[in-house]
Amino acid sequence: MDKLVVGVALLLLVAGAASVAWALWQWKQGGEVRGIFWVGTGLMSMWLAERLVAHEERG
Amino acid sequence: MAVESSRMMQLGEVARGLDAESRRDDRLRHMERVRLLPVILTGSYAWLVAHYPLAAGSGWASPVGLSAAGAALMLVGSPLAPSKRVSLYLVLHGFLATTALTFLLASETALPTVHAGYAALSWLSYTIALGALSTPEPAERPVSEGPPFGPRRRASVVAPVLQLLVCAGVFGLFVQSLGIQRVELRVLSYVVTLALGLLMLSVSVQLGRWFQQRESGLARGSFRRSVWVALLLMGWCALSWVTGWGTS
Repeated sequence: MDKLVVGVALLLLVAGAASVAWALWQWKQGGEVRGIFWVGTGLMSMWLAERLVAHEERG
Repeated sequence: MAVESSRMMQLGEVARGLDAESRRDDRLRHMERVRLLPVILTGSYAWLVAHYPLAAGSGWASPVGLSAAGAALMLVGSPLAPSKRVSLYLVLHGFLATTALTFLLASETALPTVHAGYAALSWLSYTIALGALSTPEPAERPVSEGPPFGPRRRASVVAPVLQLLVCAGVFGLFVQSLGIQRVELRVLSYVVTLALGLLMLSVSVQLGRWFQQRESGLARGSFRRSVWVALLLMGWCALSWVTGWGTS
């Protein structure tokens, strides 16, 4: 696996978790629309990280 | 005469072979379009609950309405694209780009809570459908061989630490979701946290294996493109952070 891919996957992992954590915080404070945005961003970045490492493992 | 008839038979066989090949190509193209269907359905659901209320509230002639209409066109028009690659670009990059634009333009619009809950669930289903799309069919997968033998390596410290951090993070998200007052959002946050937790564990296991083995190799072109998409996504996060919409 390429080091660049590993680095980006790690960054995406942290960014995805932070996005969802922020979304949950927004939902706690009553910001529903902003929460949706951050949930979407978090899940997409985590999915992208998963695909990156899965393809690299196969490739 | 005999030579001519045998040549005719050979030509007939070649024609039959070409015909069968073209039928197979048509079937494969058709299957590729059928595989897009779950993504289009879940994307349409996401559009109905996330874009439509915003566009209807702002008016279809407004920038928000036009952007939402563009997102719908990207989604519905993707099966009509001439190639699989263009279809995928429309259904993923095009749809997400217009979605991001719609959300940015409608950042000051207030939505009823029930729409927000449905919209979050719809994005979850869209993400899952995309994941299923990128997973190859059993027939497309190469026959797997056993892992090659390699020299012994020292146990990595980073891999278990990464796993531990991920487990702690998922647990922390579950604890945080307990504090949400609205029951619908609390249930939704459980689902989101569960999906995220599964993805995080999957990624961390594979990264942990890399840290353990320290394999090296060159990334393929498609992965380079994925890296660019990832960087774009992070840039998008940074932009929304800087403009203050996501944090204020």
